[in-house]
Amino acid sequence: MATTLLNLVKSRLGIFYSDTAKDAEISQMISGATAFLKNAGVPDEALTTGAELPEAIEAIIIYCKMAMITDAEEMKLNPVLTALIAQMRIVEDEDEET
Amino acid sequence: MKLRAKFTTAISFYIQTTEYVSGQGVTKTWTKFESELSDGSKMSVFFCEWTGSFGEIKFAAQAQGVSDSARVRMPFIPELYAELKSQKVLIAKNADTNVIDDNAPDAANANAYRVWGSVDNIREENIMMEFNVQRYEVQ
Repeated sequence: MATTLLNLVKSRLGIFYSDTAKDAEISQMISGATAFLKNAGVPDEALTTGAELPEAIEAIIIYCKMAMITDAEEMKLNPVLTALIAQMRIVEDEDEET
Repeated sequence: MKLRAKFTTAISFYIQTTEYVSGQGVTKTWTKFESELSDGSKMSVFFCEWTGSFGEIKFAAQAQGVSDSARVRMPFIPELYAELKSQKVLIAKNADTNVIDDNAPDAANANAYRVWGSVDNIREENIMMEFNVQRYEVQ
């Protein structure tokens, strides 16, 4: 996993230090988020390592924030996450009108 | 219980270290706290929620001779937490770089604060920590 993505996610989660166990925990969350997005139909190109789309990064961050919540009642699917997945699933078809 | 905090105030930390130099005795120096990130870069300016004291807390503080105090909430940083617990730490509000004057805290600087009481790892979750600060004044 690209270090930049890990650092981006960590800073957005408010983790401003380096710790092997914590890094492994967040990396595992990112892997889970990536798998979740792929299974939801997000194309692989959006999640290319080192060149993730900004929407994909935001979706991963939202997923990780959700994964950090320990309260089961609050762990609901975030509507913005759903919207981001829908946006990334849109495929442009230039030949549609021809 | 939900815990909400908006990290809008920049702060940095200076830790007092003492060193024995043969023939000179003990020398005290203030070192800026830096947290190392995963990519090896270092971070010394952090963002926190700075809430000034008011109401009952203000009265209680004034009764103890503390005229300027605040509550600080910020993301949990293990090394900083340990330093705040065990060392003399100078807190620079707004990440003011002029809080140290001639290797000593500048009591005339309005941004120089120190920990008042102790630091708390909120609910032991390792997510946020909280501590009270008071103006660094000569007492």
